[in-house]
This record gives sequence, structure tokens and C-alpha cells, in this order.
Amino acid sequence: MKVDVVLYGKLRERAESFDDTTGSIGSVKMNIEEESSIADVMARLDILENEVSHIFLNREYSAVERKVEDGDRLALFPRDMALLYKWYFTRKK
Amino acid sequence: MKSKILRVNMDELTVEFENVPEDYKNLGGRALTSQIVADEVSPKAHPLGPNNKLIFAPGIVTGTNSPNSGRISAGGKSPLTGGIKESNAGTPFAKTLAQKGIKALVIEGEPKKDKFYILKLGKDGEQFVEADDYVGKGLYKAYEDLHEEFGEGIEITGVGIAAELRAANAGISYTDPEGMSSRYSGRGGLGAVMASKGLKFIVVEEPEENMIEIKDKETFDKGRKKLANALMEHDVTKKDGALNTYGTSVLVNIINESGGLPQRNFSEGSDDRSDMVSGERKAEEIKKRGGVRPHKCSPSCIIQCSEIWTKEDGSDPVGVLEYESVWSLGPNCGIYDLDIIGELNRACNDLGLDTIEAGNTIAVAMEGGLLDFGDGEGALKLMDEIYNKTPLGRILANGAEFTGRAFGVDRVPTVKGQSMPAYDPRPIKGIGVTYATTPMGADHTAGYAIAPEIMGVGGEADPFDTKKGELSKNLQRATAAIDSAGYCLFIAFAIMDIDEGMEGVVDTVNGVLGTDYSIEDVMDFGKEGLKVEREFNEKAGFSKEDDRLPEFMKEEKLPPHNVVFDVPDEEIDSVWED
Repeated sequence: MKVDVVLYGKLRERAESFDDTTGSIGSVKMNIEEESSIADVMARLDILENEVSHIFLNREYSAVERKVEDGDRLALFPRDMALLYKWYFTRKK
Repeated sequence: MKSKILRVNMDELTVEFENVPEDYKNLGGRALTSQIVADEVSPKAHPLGPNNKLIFAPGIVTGTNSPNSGRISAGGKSPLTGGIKESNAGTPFAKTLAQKGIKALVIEGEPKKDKFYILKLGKDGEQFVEADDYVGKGLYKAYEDLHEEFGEGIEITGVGIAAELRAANAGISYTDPEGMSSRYSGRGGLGAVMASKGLKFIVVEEPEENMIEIKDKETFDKGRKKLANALMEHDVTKKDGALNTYGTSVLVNIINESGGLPQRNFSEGSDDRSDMVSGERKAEEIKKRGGVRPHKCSPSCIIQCSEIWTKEDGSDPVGVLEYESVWSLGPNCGIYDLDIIGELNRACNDLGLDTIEAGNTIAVAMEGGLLDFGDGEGALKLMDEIYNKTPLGRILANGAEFTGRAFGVDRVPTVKGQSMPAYDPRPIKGIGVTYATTPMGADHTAGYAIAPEIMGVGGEADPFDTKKGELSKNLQRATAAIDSAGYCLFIAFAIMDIDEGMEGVVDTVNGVLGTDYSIEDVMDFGKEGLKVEREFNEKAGFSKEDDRLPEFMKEEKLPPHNVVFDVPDEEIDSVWED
């Protein structure tokens, strides 16, 4: 199945096709196995959990255990972009 | 106590130093401005009439060397909301006023002649100077000229062309560390109150002697170090952390991704083009242009979220482009161009307008058909209408609600007449409860704070859950406490997660005042302060029916989450239960 991974800030450099002149967001279209979790997708991109601050799956604030489905949008923010009113957002598992 | 209250009578053009009454001794910042307004201003007074007053008060720790303590509160009855107003800013003016030993500055009356004055608080006394030459002048130039007229070593607060129009979106400007007009008590139209008193600028000279008294130096120093450690340890506030690296605009991409960044007058919650104006882009551009980033808005700041934005060739510095300003003047108007946003922000700083209200006003005018969404050049021309004091300019300078009426718009994002900041309350419901209930009108800072854990609230909440009364209540109380202490709200991130930081805040407050307050006592200050503000508004004619979000937000689903604001009225009202 396919997912769109959106990489913000310094993480964008992990997107192979990232072009510094056209954007500040890296984007990767990935083929992944059924039943994969966010953590599995991150592992495929060599992104460690402690490198990431905010994770949104289909624009919902999410935890790494959450399962990913075909056609999902997964967005990852690096540690140095940690700035959410965490009391307004809970991580969906 | 060495500090005094300075009462400025604009009827007679006189000033008088008064001893601080016992009841006010342990108050500062917002708690003090709101208490003086409640004690001295009739809730029925016309905001622009002789019976309203304008109060400035530095916080309790302001002017000390405690980190991030450079805050000042301005207070009065708001021409925008008709209720009580406290509008808070970080500026070197705050420190200088505090070190001069002024605990509060009370401006009252109005001059008999239709004239503007400069009040100079100098080393060798106080004097009024006629301000005729400054009328109609933009504030960037005015501050340059004031530095020339009064010399170096001064800090300035003042009002611009918008305030000369007595417009309800006129803010109060202060000097930044470079002496420019870029720091603001923007919200609520207090600039118009200052202008209605005939006061154009206050110029404060650095005092020879620092008048700040710290009663218990040992406790204060212990606290100051604890707070500094917490700030430098926490991911959000440390060096190379989010605020230091990208400034508040780091939120553009985050809130856009969450589906809560209002686009085109609150009609969608996300648009990929928002990245064009993100904090990451802005930081890169500033580096390329030779601007400054990071930067501090006031001398004691160690977070340094500020910056200096310039034109493409590095010329014509504007000051900081905050997240809220970038959003209101940008995506909310369908504008995704940092240079246009920078020039709109410059116009706001120069005219003396609140950026949040100004952006919402342009968006509402776009909705009303005056110009198209995305028309950046058109938006800049609207600013010219205000410069030229045309009838259209006068409408626009009065804010989103007034402009909405003028153009027959039924989707106007305001509460109590004040327009919303950069978080749509439909997918982020907690902030919606704060917008609805704060005595200030829609305001994100009123409930954007601090340690819910310490106050017994869960550290995480589902943004779509409608049970938000308790959360908003505790955040509003904590915020009121921070605003009164004189600390920047951004310390909240660190003191919420690191106990030592919270202890540091309480220690520094106790150190200055010579008190023995607990964390709970300090939070109680917030609660009491809010009660004072709420009672003023009730006497001014507000009821719980005014604690509601606009109708369209309850009926119109916001993409991409396709949700409405569905927090029940009883839940909203629970904010005011004990």
C-alpha cells in the first residue's frame, strides 16, 4: 500500500527528491507493507523516534504505534520544531 | 517601598507621585492595571471620554535581571470590546519604567485644547512637550526623530495615525532594543484611549539610580537561576530550540498540518501554500538577507524568539514578523508572500495598528467584496487609506467587526468585538472556550499557558473533545498570574515540564516582594485578577450570552476535519464556576 510522508524542517533532507530551491518541505511517496505502524515507516526512512517532535497522521496528532493505511498522509516534525500546546493535543494511538 | 504610582493629569498637564496603597503593594502587571481600572473607571464610561483612564504597569519582577522579565501591561476600558482590557508587551521600555521606580502610570482626563503632547520622564524631572510636529507622521520616522530630539538612552511608548483617528484598532507601540516602533500592546484599541487623552508619546530616560527593591536577594537569586536553568534545558525554549531557531512562526506549518490554520477568513483549516510563509522559510530568508535571527525583544530575554525582518536587499528593517501577524496578514487573506506580509506588518507598526485585528479586517473586507482574497497589492493600498485618513481608512482602522458591518459580511470571526488569532476553534476546541470566555475578547494569550499538571489538570487533551471548561479555566488563571508577575508567557513551556522552573518563578516573586507565597498562592492571584475583570465587564453590560463564538462557527464545517464548534454552552459557562 502507498503512503505520503511529509517531512518538515531538517527532516526534509531525508527525502531523496528534495529540491532546496522549490520548497522547504520534503515529501516521499512510499510503498509499505500492510499493518505497518508509523514507527515502521520512520524506520524505513532511518528516522529515530527521538529525532521527531510532532507526528500527524491524516492531520491528527498521533503516537508512533498508530497503524498506517493505504493513501494516508503522515507528517513528521523534527525535534527543534517542538512547539505545541500539548494540553490542546493528545496523541491518538 | 521606593516605587511610586505616577498620576498624569491631562486636564491640567500635571504629574504627581503617589505612595503605593497597601492593597496594591503585592500587585504588578495585569493584576495591577485591572485593579486600578476596576477601582477608578466607571464600567459605563465611554472608552474615549474623559472618564476612562489608561494605566501602564510593569510586572512584579520586571526590570530585575531575572530571565524573560521585560514585560509591561497596558490597561483601560477598551474601545474595541467595550470591556476591560489588558494588553501585554515585551520591550526595553518596561525595564526602564520599572527601574525608574514607577509601579504604575495612570493617565487621566483630557486636555482642554485639541492638542497632542509628549510626556518626558527625565532624569531631572517630568515635563510636557507639544507634539504638533509628530501628528500624521509614521511611527518609524517619529521614533527616529524623537531619538534626535531627546537624545540617546531613552525608551518610548507612543501612538500613531490610527490612534489620531481614535480608531478602535489603534494599538500602543513601544521601542524595541534598536529603538524602532515594533513592540506592541496591540490588542483592544488602547492606542485610541491614549490619543483621546491628548498623549502622543511618553519618553523615559534611563534613570541614574535603579529604584527596584529586591527584599530578599538570596531567594530571588536562587529563583532566577532555577528559572534560567529550566529555560535553557527545555526543548521549546533552549538555545537552538524551536523558538530560538524559527521564532513563533514555527507554528505556521505545525498548525497548518493540524488542520487548524484559518485560511481566507476562516473558511478552511489548511492550505499547502502556507509553507511559503512558514517559520523555516522566514529564517532562511533572514539569513540570506542579512537580517537578525535570533534576537531579543527586551534586555533580559534568554529565549530570543524575536528577529529583524528586512526587505530583500537587507534594507528597511521591520522588526519581528510574529506567527500571529504572518497568519493574519497572510494565509487568512489568501496571501502567501513573505515580502507582502512584511510590508503589511511594517504598515501596521508604522500606523500603530494591531496586526491580528488588521489582518482579520482585510480578510473581512475581502469577504465583503472590497478586494479579492490573495490580492496583496490591494491590501497594501488599504493601508494607504488609513495613512490618508480617508472615510474608508477610518472604517478599516476600526477593526473586523466594524468593517464587517460596513460591507454586510455575516462571517466575522470575533468575540466581544475582538477578532480571533491564528487557531481555528472548530478543530482546536480548548482555545475556542478561551476565546469565548476571557474578559478580553477573542485572545489566544489569555489561556495559552502553563502547567496544567501542577494545577491538577491532565497534561494532554484531545483537541476534538468538547470537555474543555476546566482546562480553559486553569489556563486562564495561570496566564493571569504570569502576566502579573511580569514574565513572558513563553516561560510556560519550561515551567510546566520542569518543576525547578516553576519554583524559580515563585522564588523570584517572593524575593522581590519579601513574601512567602506558595505556587498555589501565585495561581490564586490569577483567579482573583480574573474575577475583578469579569465583574467590570458584567457592570459594563456583558452577560454569559456574550461568551459565545460567532454563529457561523457552530454551523459551517471547517475542512479538512469538517467539524463545527460544538462545545455546549453549559460547558463554556463552567469556566466561571469555582
